[in-house]
Amino acid sequence: MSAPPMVMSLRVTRAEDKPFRLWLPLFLLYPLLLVLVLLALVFTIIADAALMMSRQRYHHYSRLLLGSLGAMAQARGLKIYVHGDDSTVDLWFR
Amino acid sequence: MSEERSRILSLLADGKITVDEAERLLDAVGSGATATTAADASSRPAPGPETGTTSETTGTGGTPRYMYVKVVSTDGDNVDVRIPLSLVRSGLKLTSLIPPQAMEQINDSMGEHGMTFDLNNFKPEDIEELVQALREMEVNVDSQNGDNVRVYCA
Repeated sequence: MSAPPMVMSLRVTRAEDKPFRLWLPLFLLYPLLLVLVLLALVFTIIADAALMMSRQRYHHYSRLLLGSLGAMAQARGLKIYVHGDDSTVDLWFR
Repeated sequence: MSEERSRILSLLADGKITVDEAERLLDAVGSGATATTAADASSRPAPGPETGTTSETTGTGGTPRYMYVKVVSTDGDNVDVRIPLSLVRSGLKLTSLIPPQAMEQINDSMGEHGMTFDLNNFKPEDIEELVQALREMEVNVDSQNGDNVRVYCA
């Protein structure tokens, strides 16, 4: 399992405007994200238990939440470069 | 008999793959797996400067780690996307956890755009096979107006 992305780099340049650059240290947001996930997990576990007791076929909201986190953690190395005639957008997760 | 070989033979018995595909998979699982992977990696054109060298992007033994989508347009709109294959795998695994109501909307939306692929039929055990197939996939499209689309894994 690889490490999650630590930094997000965004650069937007336009012909007539100043270039916009954003360097976001994602590792600083992970503790906050962890708290939010734990809070959300409480609700999803309750929802899954209620759905399971009511014999609903789908009761996997907790797994969906954790799976989404796992997918987000695999985004390290994702690069998106869109270069147009008068604008460029560069997004990089590293 | 190794687990991979038995799985390939069971797929052949179920009719999910042809004899030729089973033979190719068995050869890949066998001793020629590393040489085949290295030969495929070396025969592909090197990635552009913005995506780094091949040695930086491939894993141990030349295993492809990223899927590249490159679009070069004559009117100046160029797209260069590098997607980790692990992200593709995780995303595919998520499809089995999507609520049914959302899945219906996704299938309807995909159908409106001409993709009649039903995500409900996608089994978790097919994910590794699909990712393996993606690693060997290479798409090269040259249009009449000079646009070029390349999709490959390296």
